[in-house]
Parts: sequence; C-alpha cells; structure tokens
Amino acid sequence: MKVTIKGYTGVAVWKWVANDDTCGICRMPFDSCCNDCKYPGDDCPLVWGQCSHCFHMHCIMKWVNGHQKSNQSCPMCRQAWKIKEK
Amino acid sequence: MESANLLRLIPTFLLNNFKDDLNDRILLSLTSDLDVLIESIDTNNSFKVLTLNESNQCGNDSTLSNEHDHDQFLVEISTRLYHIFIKYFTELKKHFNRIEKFNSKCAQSINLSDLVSYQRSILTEKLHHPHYELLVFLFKKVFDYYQTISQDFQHQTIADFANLRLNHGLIDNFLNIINILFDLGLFDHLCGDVVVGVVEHKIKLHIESTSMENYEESFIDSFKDWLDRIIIGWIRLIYSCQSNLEHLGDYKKQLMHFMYTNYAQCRIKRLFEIVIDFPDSKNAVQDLRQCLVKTNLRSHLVRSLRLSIEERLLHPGVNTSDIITAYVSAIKALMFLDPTGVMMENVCEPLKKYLRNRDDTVKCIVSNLTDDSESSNDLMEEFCKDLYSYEGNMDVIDSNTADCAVLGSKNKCWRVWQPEPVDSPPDSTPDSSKANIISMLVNIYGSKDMFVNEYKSLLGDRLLSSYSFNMEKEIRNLELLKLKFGEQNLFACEAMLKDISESKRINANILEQLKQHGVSKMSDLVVNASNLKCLILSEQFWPKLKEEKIDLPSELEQVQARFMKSYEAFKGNRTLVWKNSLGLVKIEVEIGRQIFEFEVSPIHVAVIMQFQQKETWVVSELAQELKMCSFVLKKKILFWKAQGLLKQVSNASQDDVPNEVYTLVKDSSKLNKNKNLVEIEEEQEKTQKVSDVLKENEINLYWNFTQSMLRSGGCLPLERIHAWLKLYANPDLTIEQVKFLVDLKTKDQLLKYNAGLYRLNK
Repeated sequence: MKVTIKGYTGVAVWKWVANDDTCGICRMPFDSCCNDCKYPGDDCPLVWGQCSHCFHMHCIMKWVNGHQKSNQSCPMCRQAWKIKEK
Repeated sequence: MESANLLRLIPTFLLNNFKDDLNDRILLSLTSDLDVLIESIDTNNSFKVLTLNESNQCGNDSTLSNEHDHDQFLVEISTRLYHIFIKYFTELKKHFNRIEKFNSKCAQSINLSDLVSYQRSILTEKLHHPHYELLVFLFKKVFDYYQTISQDFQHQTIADFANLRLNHGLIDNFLNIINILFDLGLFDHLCGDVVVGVVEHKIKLHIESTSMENYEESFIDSFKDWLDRIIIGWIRLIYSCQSNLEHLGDYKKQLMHFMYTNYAQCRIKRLFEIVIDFPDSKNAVQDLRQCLVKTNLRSHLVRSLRLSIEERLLHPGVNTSDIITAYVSAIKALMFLDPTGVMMENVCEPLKKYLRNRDDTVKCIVSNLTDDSESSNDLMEEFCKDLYSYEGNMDVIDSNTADCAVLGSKNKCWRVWQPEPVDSPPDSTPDSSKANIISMLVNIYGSKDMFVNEYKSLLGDRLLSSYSFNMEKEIRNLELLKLKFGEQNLFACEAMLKDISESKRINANILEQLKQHGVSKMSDLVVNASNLKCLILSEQFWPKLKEEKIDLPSELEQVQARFMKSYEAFKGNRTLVWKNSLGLVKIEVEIGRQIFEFEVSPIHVAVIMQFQQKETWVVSELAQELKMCSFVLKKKILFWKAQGLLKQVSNASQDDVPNEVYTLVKDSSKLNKNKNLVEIEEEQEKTQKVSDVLKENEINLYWNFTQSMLRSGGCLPLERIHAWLKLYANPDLTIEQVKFLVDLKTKDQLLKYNAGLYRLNK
C-alpha cells in the first residue's frame, strides 16, 4: 500500500510573538484587539518599545498622547517610551 | 256539606273513568299496533339496521340496492303508520271531545281542561322507546328524502308545499300524520323533541361530512345557505299546516347558533392539524374566528389545543425542529385567529416551556434562521420579513395579523381600541413583540445572548467543515442577524468571517512567494496552489477549538513548517499554531494496482500512513507511536476499517481496546466502495470534533467524584458539579466536558435531570 498526499487544507491560529500574553494597558490578550477595535491582527497591531515591553499600538498611543512630551514613559517600567524600530 | 264532598269526588271519578277508557280502548291497541308495525319492518327490511345505518353514515343509503325500493318501502311504512294514527287518533279525538263536552256541561267549579293535558301526558308515557324510534326514523328518512328532492328548487310558499304533496306520496303521508298530531294538540308532546333532535343531528352530520377533512375552504357561507334552504324549508314544511309561523324566526336563530357551535367544535377537534397546515388552512381559521365571536368556546379551544399539542408534540419522539416549525405555525395561526395574541399566549405556554428544556432548541432555531438550503425557508422568510418591518416597511406584514399590534405601537388605533379578552393572563403586555415570530422564538429563553453564542459556534462549525472561502451567504446572514441583534453582539462572528477572507488573501500571497523561492525543494504538493490552502484564525474570536495532540506524517509537517515560515516572513512578529485535529487532507491510496482517493482529517492520514511501514499494529503500540490515546485512536482505526482498508485480527474482548490488533487489507476487491458510509463516518467525526468528549478512564474517575458528591449533596446544578470537579479532580476540566459526563449518565439512567438540577437515580 502506498499513500500519497495530494492536497492539504490546514487550520491554524495566529499568535503574536511577544514576551507576554496580554496587553498591559487594556488587559486584553494580544491576540485579541484593544477596546476600540473590531478586528485583531493587522487592524490592531502591537508595538515594541525599546524597553522591550509591548502593547497594542492604539493603547500605548493613547497613553503617550495623554502625557506631556517630557513625561512619555512606558507604563510598565517607567523608562522613556521609544518605539523599537526593526 | 254533602254537596261539597260530591263536588270533590266528581273529578276523581271522571279521571279514573276516562283514564281506564283511554288505557283499555285506545292506548293498548295503539301500542300493540305500532309494535306490530315495527316488527313487520324488522322482519321485512330490518328497521334496526336502517336506524343504525343512519347514525353511521349520513343520508346516503348504499345498503339498499335500489333507491326506488327504498322509497317504496318508506311510502309503505308511512302509509301504514298513517292508517294506525288515523284509526286511533280519531278515536282519541272523539275521546278528547267527549271530555270537553262534559266539561262545558259541567258546572264552572270543575275544570276538566287539565284532564285533557293529563290524558295527553298519559299517552306520551304509554308509548315506548321503540315507538319514538319509529318516529325519529320516519323523520330522518323523510328529511333525507326532502333534502334530495329540494336540491333544485325552493319551497317557500304554501302552494309549493301543496305541489310537493301532490308529487311525492311520502311527503303527503308524512304531512297527514303530522296534521293529525297537530289536530290533537299532540305534536309538541310527541314530536317536538324529535323535530329538534333530527334537525340538529342532520346539521351536525352535514357539517362533519363536508368540513371535517377539508381545511382549505371556507364553509360558513355555504352552511348558512344550506341551513336557510334545507333546514328552514323543512321546518316550514312541517309547520305548513299551521297558520302560526311566528316562532320560526326564533327557531332559525337557535339553529344558526347551533350550527356555529357545531362547526366551531368540529374545527376545534381538528385544530391541531389546521394549525400545522396553517397558511393553507387560513380559511378554516377565518371561519373559526367568525364562529368564536358568536359562541362561547374560547376556553374550550385553548384547552383542547393545548391538550393535543401536549399529546402529539411535546414528547421525546418529536424532533426539535418539528416542534419549532409547529410553534411557528401555531403562532401564525393563532395570531390570525386572535390578533390580540392572548389566545396564542395561552396555547403556546406549554410549548414554550417545553422548548426551553430541550438543549438543541437554540441550535435548531439558529440553523433554521440562517440555513436556507433546506425546507426551513419559512423561518428565513419570516426573518427577512421581520427585518423589513424593522426598517419601517409595513406593507410586508400581513395586514390581518399584525395591523392591530403595529398600529397599537404607533398609537394610531385608539379609536378602534378593544379591551384585552377576558382570558388574558394578568401579566401580559399588549406589545408588538407578540406579532413578531422571531422575537417569540428568541424570547423562549428570554435573552439574546444564548442565541448569539449559539450562532457563533454554529458558524464556526460550518466554516470549519466546509473549508471553502465562499461566504456570501454567511455574510448575508450575518448582516441580517446584525440588524436584529445589534452589531455589538456579533463582532466575533464578523471577525470570524474576516479571518476567512483574510486567509484567502494570505494564501494567495504565500503561495506566490513559495513559487518564487525554492520551489524545487518542495514536494509537488505546494506547487499547485489549488491543492494547498490554510485557514488562519484569530483564536480569541472563535468558539473553543478542540486540541488533539498528534504527530503528523513528516510530509505534512514539512509543508506546515514551510507555510509557517512564509507566513512569519509575510506578517512580522506573528506566527502560526497548527490545529491538527482540524483540516482536510486529500490522499491517494494505492492498493495492488488500484488507486482510491480519500479526503480525511490529518489524524486519519497519520494513522493510515503508519500502516505503510508496518502492516500489522497493536492499538496500544500505534497509540504510543502517534502519541495519542488508544480510545481516540480506535475511532480513527474504525473509520479505516469501515472503508475496508483495515481489518481486526485478534478477537480481544470488547473492553480491551489497547490490545486489539489491526492489519492492512491487501485485497483491494474487498474495499468498501459505499460512499454513503464514508459520509456518515465523516459526519460523526465532525460532531465529535467540536463537542468535548471525555475519554473512558476519565469518565470513570469523574463519575466516582460526581456520585459521591451527589450522594452527600442531594441534587446539584451543572455549574456546581463542574466547580467541585475542578477543585478536586482536574482544574482544566471544562463545563462542556462535565455536561458530556452528566448527559451520558443521564442517558444511562444513572442520573435524573429535573429543573436544572441533577440527582442520582435510585
């Protein structure tokens, strides 16, 4: 007997590669979206700070915009918030 | 003193005298003559058979071979009866006359008119049951005869009746008999009941024979006409020799009411069928509506319909979807019958309660709502209609059923306002939701959430079992549901659909990429884009997907790894986690020289591929090899066994699954080509995939816990059992798994489920 695979329809779930499961700001899972969004993933991406903490982009933007320019720090570690460029 | 005594004695004396006279001379011979007549009919043509016949069928005597013979026979009977009556009743008349003469001669103090009526009552008393039966028989027969001859023309005037008598001997005899009775003032005594009885009997028969099985036509008008023409004509005929026809109007009213009552009862008897047939049986319901206004049968209707619904619908033998269909048509029919909705609420109360207890109700309703491939179009239509009305397009709603409610909500019908019917429950609210079938269905549970959740899992099942990217229908359904339930509740479903369309885009992209780079290294599987695709889901938004850890064949793993790599490159910082219990693999199996194609889950492929290297496996060994549980593996093996690719070798006892041995079938001729079986198997797979199934050893473990829990706790709700089990046995246990366990045990009659509580069945 010989079995040959002719086609494959797979099912998979996607995950963010991050060092945490939930966003520290909105407390939603990263794989879900922030409170203002409808769809996860591309519509509600993550951003990594230089301190290596990551959040929903929308969440951290809200946080950052709510503070004075001089006082823009990561809510987790209080280091200055700088987006890590890749 | 003496004269007073004498005066007191005279009536007694007279009474006795006249009474004896009547007894001996007239009544005895009258009854005996009638007996002779009945006997002669009995021997001649079996009177009993005729009367029996009469009650069974309606009017048409098929037993008598010849219509003419029958008429002749009737004429003969009526003539003989006439002669008997003439003979005795003329004597009776003389007798009465004598009394009256005596009365007039007598002094004023003694009034003998009472005596006459007394004598009359003696006469009625003397006649036995068979004699009355003879009269009833005669009336019925003559009525039938009359009905047949009056088909073509109206008999309204005295001249018409005279004409009738001239042409029909039977009628003539009959009227003569009646005349004599009228003459003696005996008609009401002897025949009053008979006339009413026969007429009512005939109305009943007529209604039943014409309308019982036919729900599609309206009969009220034809019945009215029939009553007017035949019955009233007949009563006119009977009373034609009397000048006083005043009471005919009362008679008519009474009979009309009798007809309405009877017709309504006839309809109510079959109301269940009528309700089930509803849009087709609209006329019947319309009739019933008219009748209900004139009769007092509302509570009877509600009671009887509830009873028949309970008897015929609310038992385990009926499919939930059938009950829902019945519920929907009951709502429609009863809203038509009673636009205030009170009757519908009263009738449907037990239905609603019962549906609440069935666990697949929500599923059925949701799938009915959204699946228009089957015969459930009805509900779908209703749903769309409902939405149109939601948008303010009132024309779509049947004006008859909903106008009052709709108008009521717009506060326009205060002029035509009617109070709620008396039988309305005290807590009912006259709102427009009554007219809305979908709301009625949704309100079985009282909340939208259950519906939304159920729809979500249904949608998930459907998307994951079709593996197609074609979702126009689903999108349309979702849009409809969004209008109904609000957008917020259905975000997750929207995200699910978006995942699928996104997957399509990503697939195309990745395949393009794969084609460009390193195609040569990949197996030919990847080259052909139509043969590889992947659904990439956002896990948080889907119903819980079942995990089954297995090691896939290396070919598939390679493909997955490759695909994943491309994905990771395509979407930065994201990766894929494969769900190997889901998905579909297309394989070709070559046995001997024949090739068979299958489309199965990856697990099945993993199983069958193991047999490629080694033809005989012990279940436990194979389980170890594939890193899965023997019991789960057994199910997969059984699938291939059903296909004819594998067969069992050892005859291990049934419980000893790990030690069963299976081997490859080499003879391709034995292969099962029955496609149906494959589908059945696959269907079972599908349902197991999503439902949470416990393994057997787990079941025993948890069952022991549950038993002792219930022994000390009496009865517990599912949530409590779950919480306890989580605490003591396994913190990862899901509530679905516990539900599976208790359901299983309830099925085995070890548990009893009542009002949300489980208890041990002792």
